[in-house]
This record gives sequence, structure tokens and C-alpha cells, in this order.
Amino acid sequence: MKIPVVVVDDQEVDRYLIRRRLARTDDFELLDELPSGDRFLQQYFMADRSGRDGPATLLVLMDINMPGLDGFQTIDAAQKLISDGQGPDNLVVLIFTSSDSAQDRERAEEFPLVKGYISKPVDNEGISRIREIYLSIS
Amino acid sequence: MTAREEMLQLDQYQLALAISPVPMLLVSKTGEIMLTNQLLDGLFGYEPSELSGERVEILIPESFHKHHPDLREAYFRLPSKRNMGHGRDLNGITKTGEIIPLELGLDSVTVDGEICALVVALDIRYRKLHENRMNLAMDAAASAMIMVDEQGLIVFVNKAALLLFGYEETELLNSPVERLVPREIRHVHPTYRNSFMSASNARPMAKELDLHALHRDGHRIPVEIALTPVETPTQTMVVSTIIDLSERLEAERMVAAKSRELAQVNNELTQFAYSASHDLKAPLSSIVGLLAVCHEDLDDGNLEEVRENLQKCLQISRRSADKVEGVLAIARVDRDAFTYETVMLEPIIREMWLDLTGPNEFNVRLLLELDHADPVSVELNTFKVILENLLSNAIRYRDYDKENNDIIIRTSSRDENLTVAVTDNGIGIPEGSQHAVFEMFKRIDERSDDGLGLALVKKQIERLNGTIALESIEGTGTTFTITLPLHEGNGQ
Repeated sequence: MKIPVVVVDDQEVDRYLIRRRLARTDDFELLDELPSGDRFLQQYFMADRSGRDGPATLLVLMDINMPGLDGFQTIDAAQKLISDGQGPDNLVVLIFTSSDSAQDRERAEEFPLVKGYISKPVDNEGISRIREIYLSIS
Repeated sequence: MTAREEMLQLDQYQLALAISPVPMLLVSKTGEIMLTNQLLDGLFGYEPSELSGERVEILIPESFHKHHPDLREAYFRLPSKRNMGHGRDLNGITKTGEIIPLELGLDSVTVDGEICALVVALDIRYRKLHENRMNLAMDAAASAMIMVDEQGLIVFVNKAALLLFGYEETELLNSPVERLVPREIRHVHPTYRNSFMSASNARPMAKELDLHALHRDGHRIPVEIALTPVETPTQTMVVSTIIDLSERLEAERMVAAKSRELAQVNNELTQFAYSASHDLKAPLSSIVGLLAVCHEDLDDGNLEEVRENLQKCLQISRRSADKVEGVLAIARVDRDAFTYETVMLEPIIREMWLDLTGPNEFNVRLLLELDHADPVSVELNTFKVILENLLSNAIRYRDYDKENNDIIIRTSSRDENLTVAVTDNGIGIPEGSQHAVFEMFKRIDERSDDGLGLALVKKQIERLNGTIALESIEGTGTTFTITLPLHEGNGQ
């Protein structure tokens, strides 16, 4: 079974790059590319998703620096919605950013939903790490 | 009293004077020296008995000769035991003309039936020398010092104190120290002073209070005062050492202001470093990613994709270069010199609008409500940067759902200030984001550019000592109002 992936990133070029990377292996199925945290919340938490989610845990690659809700604000909102019983049952979020600031890494660790930190641009090694983290959790 | 007894009396005095441990002389009512002892002769440099029969004025400096007989007469009208001179400096003159400081004690005695004055003359050269040394030392002290006697009269004031309080020495000597005490506590000060005199331990004055002293011109000086009792031969004096706190307090204020400023700068720098790590690095990692993909596509012979991605790399590189330039422009703002130009605003605004909208491909109208007094003196380039940013934001955030997109520029000039308000009926700024719009790299939504425009605008306006205010209602529109101080047009 392929790993279902959603990419949330405001930069079109970065979405293109991860799409290309993921496509090099057969392990992933890119479900959605969303340009903002707001759109992600709308699509996966607000809309009626009955019957649309598969049995597999959803992998979300979340950029930090976006206009509107940034990555952290989006994750924070998602966690709240999940604890209120809304949203997908199984979700793994990986921070997906070009920043390697310690501040961001520390902040990422504060969210139970966040299971890893992936630096852009993602190379083949990065893809292996994404797969490893996903498999170790789901 | 018989003549013999009288003779004996004089003899007795002679004997008494001879065994006295201090210099003494006996002077008749008419001012004739009747008797001296050897100590006195020695003090004034005369041979034993050489002074007998001389006028007492021979021992007095010439400048005082004129008044002395009157004072002598006055004494004999009401003879008593007392000190001569009432605290004034008294001097004697020796045979060789040397002036010597003296302390003189007077008593009246009857000799040969006549009232005479018995005078004790103490050589206070050493004491004076000592005093002078002390005064010199106190004058040399950087702190203000004042010596006050038991009555609260100022008996010494050093140079630093004169400088601090703005007085001449003669104005303060012998005047109550309360003259230097602020009015509101002047009436209670003598009580404090007396209680200190009776306790007399060195201590700081009113340690827990903010103390002030009064300058001659009436302004209050924040001070710290240390009190030290000083025993003198005649009484206990109090030396007050007064430290002017004005500079220290001012320095403390400045240090506090400076550290607030530094904390702010530090905060901005941290914020900047964080933002830079995102915003300046992100395009580079995109380029790296794109080039890696190009590599693969070259290997696969997918040249069309390579061409497209190289084109993207170019675009991103150019945008990044612009962005770095933008950041540098903001960083340079503080170093720009002021260059004012006197201009008419309307043509400048119209020209800028044409540049921004081109051949009017947007459906946006510009309305002018200009009410300022032309010409105005502004930093033209800065003014253009500011207005250009505000206008391009107003265009970019227009509300596509509205039939007309209107941008109104209102101006006014009042109280040496030029006010320009740019109002649009665009999508507005969410209340939660309004505080952030002036932050560097802050992009509010997808339409935001590089997040530098308003940061630059704000910095430029602050440099010109102006202000910028924002009013916005989501869905209704936004008004940015800038106020700039007007200049005389000569540039400075």
C-alpha cells in the first residue's frame, strides 16, 4: 500500500520539487498540494470527508513560513480540532522547511502531532527518512 | 584703698603676668600699655619692658588704628569679660612689621583706682595655618562642603559648594544654612539640625528620602548629603558633604533609556535573523532543489523540463537579488542624509499612478482630495518610496467582488505637518494581522509581496520623525495615514 501524502506549502516551486522527489519512488501517493494552512484546515478538517479517507495514516508535509496561518499555527489548530473529535483519525505531520533554526526545531517538538523535521530541498536521502519516520509510527 | 596697696596691686599684676603661661598685657583706659609679660614681648618681638608706656596701637596693624580708640572707649563704658572681635579675624603687628593672627580675651581690672583692661593674646598662627590647610583641602575636594556652627550659620563653604549653589562666598558666610534648603522643609530644618547637634554622629542626611537643595536661582538640585560633626576649640561644627545627583540621575535615566533601546534593537535583530533564515534561505534551497532536478532531467534527456526549471532558477535568483536589495535599503535608511526638495504634490502623485498602473489595465480609480498648501518641502525620493508602497498595496489588495475599486488620496497641511491618507475599498486587513503589517518579511496572505514594503515605509517615516497609522476593516477597506514634519525647504 502506498503512503498517502498531503503537501502544504505556499511556494509553487517547492511543491513541484517534492512532487518530483516523491514520484521517483513508488511508495507514495500524493493526494493533495495545498498552498496554505487555511486551505489544509478547510479541506481536511472542515469539509465533510466521510468515505474519502482511506485506512492508511495520512502523511502531511507542512511548510512553516506561509502567509496567513503559518505551519505552526495550522498544526496548533489541527490538534485542537482533532481533540474535539474533528478531522482525520490518523495523521502524521512532518515539518517541511528550508529553515534549520534551532528555534523552529524546538517549537516543532512541542506538538505531539509533529513526528519529524525535514529540510528542503529534499533529496533521495530525505525521501528515505520520510518513509522511515512514517513506517516507524503507523 | 591706700597708695601702698595700689602699688602692691600693680606688683601683684606684674607677678601674675610673669607666671602666666600665656602672653598678657595690661592697658589703661587711655590706651597706654602699663604692663606686659615676657611671653607677650617675645610674641611681638620686643625687649622685656620695652612696651611699657607705649600706646597699645603699636601692637595693632595700621589699617585698624583709626577705629581702635573708639572701640576701646566703648569697651570701657561697659567693661566685661569677653572675647574681642566677635568671630572676626584679629591680627597683631610685631616690631618688625609681621602680621600675626591672634585670639584676644578681655577682662577689666582696677589698678591704681583706674579701670584697666587685662588682655590675653593667643597666637593662633598654627591654628590659622591648620584652618587654611583644611580650607584648601576642602576647596580642592570635588564635592560641595559646607561647615555650619551651632546656630546654623554657615562658617565655611568650599568652592565646589559655591559652584553648585550659584552663590558668592560673601553671600553665604554667616547666613543661615536654611537658605539652601527647599522652602517646603525650611521651617522644620532647624529642628533636624538641633537634634543632629545633640546626637552628633556622622551619618547621611534623610537617607531614605529624595533630598533636594535650593540653587540661588530657585531650581532644586537632587543631592545626597553626609553630615560629620567637627570639634573646634570653641564649639561643635557640622560639615555637610553634598553630592550633586543631577548628573548621576540623568545618567541613570539615559542608561535605562539606552538599555530599553538596545533590548528593542536586540529583539529586532533576533527577529531579523529568524526571518532571514526563512526568507533569504528559502529561495536558495528552491534553487538547489531545481538544479538537482535539472541534473536528473539532463541524464534522462528531458531537455524541455531542464529549460523550464533553469528559467525558474533565474526568476528566483532575480527575485532574491531584489529582496536582498530591499533588505539593504531598509538597513541603510538610518544612514541616509536628509535632502529636502520643494515640490508640488499633485503632478508627482499623478506620474506615480501612471507608472504603477501602466495603460490602466486594472479597473482601479484614483481620486484626489488634496487640501495641503503647495509647494511642500519633502524628501522627494523618500516620499515617492512611501507613497508608491502604499498605492501598490492598495491596488494589490483590491476587492474583486466590488464593482468599483477606488483609491482616495487625501492631503492636508497643518501645524508644520503634512498629512497624507491613502484609503482603499479593498479586502482590508484582518484585525489580528494589523499589528504585524510593518514587520519585516511579514506576509499577510498570498497576495503579499516579499514582506518588506511596509517595513521600509515605516523605517523611512520614523527617520523623518513622522508617523504612520493604520485603520482597516476586513471587507470594507484600509486607510494608511502618514504625517511628516514640513521643512523650510532649505534642506539641512
